[in-house]
Amino acid sequence: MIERAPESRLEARSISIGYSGRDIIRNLSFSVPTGQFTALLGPNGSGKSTLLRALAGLITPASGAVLIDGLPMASMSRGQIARRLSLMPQSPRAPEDITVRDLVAQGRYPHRGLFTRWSLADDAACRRALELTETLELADTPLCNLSGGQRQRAWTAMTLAQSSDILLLDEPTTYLDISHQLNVMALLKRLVHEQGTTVVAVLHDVTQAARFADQMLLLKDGQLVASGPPVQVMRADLIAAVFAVEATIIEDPVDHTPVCLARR
Amino acid sequence: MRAGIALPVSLALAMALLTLAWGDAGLAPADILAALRGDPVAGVVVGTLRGPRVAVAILVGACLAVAGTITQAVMRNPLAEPGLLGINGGAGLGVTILIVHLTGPTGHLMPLAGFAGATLAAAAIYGLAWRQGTSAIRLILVGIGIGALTGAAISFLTAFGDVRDVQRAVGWMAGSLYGADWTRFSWLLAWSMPALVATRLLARELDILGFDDDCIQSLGLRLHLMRGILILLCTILAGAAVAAAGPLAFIGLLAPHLARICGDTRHAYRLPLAATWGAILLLAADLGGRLLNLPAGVLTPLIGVPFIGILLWKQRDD
Repeated sequence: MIERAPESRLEARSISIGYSGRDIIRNLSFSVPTGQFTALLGPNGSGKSTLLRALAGLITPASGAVLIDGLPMASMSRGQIARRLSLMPQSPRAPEDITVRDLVAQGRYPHRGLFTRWSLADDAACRRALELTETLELADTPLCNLSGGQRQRAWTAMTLAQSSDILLLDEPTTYLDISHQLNVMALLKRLVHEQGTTVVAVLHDVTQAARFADQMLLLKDGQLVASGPPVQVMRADLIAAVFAVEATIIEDPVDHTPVCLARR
Repeated sequence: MRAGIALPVSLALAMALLTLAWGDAGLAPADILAALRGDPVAGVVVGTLRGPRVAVAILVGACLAVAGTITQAVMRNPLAEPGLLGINGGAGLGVTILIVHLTGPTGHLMPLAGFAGATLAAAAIYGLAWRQGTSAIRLILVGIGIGALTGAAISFLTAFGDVRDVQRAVGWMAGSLYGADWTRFSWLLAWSMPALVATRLLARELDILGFDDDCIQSLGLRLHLMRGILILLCTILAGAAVAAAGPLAFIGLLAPHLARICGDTRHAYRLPLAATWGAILLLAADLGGRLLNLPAGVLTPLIGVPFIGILLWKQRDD
């Protein structure tokens, strides 16, 4: 069932996670393919966000381990983890009067020591993050004056400024209109293909995921139902098993990626 | 940035000079200069009476302001102040127990009792709010609970205590700079300076603590450790202030907001700004208090209450 990517820097090894007696993730093993865009999909409550948080080292599994570069995360300091991977939570919060520039600058935190001054490398990383997300012209605007789409881009920039090779995003397109959704997805795809970043994103739109992602992961009741490239995972029977909907899968006439038409 | 700090610094200097000059024996600026050159009469007034009082006011104001800035960052709440960490309630209870229950001369022990009470209350709040880590909201709720508890205990003790003792305790609890001398100042300086320097070194951590927990941790910050350290620093600073001048309300709430109005969101700038505003506020309250023959602690709420109204009014849409 699980397709092993040739190379993986981030790996969940038979992890189980439970809150107050209820199991959210059950004995799940999975390697994040390096330098690819992986979409994490599943119905509400299937454990997507929990899995993502475990991959980010924010939850320690009750059993099993999450490994980064072959080392168990539990044995690493938060700083060591932060230099390797960054996470964008579902609805991140910051003081509302902070400017985009200052927000993005906080992404440099894991690279700075107690007495280290702001460096040219910090400057370059922030500038690059602002440029990639097209937020350069918003740099001096406070967060509270941004629209939902701009806000999402500003947070993405902050995550990018962290300059980690692995990027985890929890529903980066939720609450965005269709045009901003496409912008975010295109940005993630560009990061993967141009910068070699590894991206794992929790997404809701199956068709969109199939269009942009290299790998899809279907989760149900804390267990992995299917994983692989979109053409393999986008099957009517799998969609029915995971989302409990009847669907027809057709081919996108332009991109030739699978499209899911949910019927019932 | 530079302009932002220039105004409060010059205001603070002006307030300090005014406080040095004004009093029963008025001193012209020339007299203060004379004192610095060694004129005996002016020297006594400036050096022994008003000098230490101004110095203590500046330092206590700065401590309260920095403690307030820490509290607002850690609790992610613009209405938070060191009192929420039980500092004032604990200090009040400590002093009340000392005065009402122990016999003999206890005056010199009051700062110590105040500091001990403040530290214990803060420790109790932090301990009770701990459940596999702390959360900002749990700290606030437990803080309110402990605050109510200390308040009730103080009421109980004062209701049954000897009237003269109670009056002394209540007098202390008003908060004032009466009898400030250089000894008190050096104690305060020794206590607070390391904490002030440490807080300034943690300015970047304070910036990040305003984010949500997941963000903070993904940025590599050891959230619970840092929260604990900052609450400890806040307790030292506010506890030292309480020991030196009694519980002074509102400066810890107000000064960080005045610093906020001046612009930059980074704590590297906000901390010194808030400290300066804290000094200004306490100098102003003390000067006003001397003018009306009232302790400074009575005047700080008079400045603070209208401000809270404005704050709530500004936030009515949120």
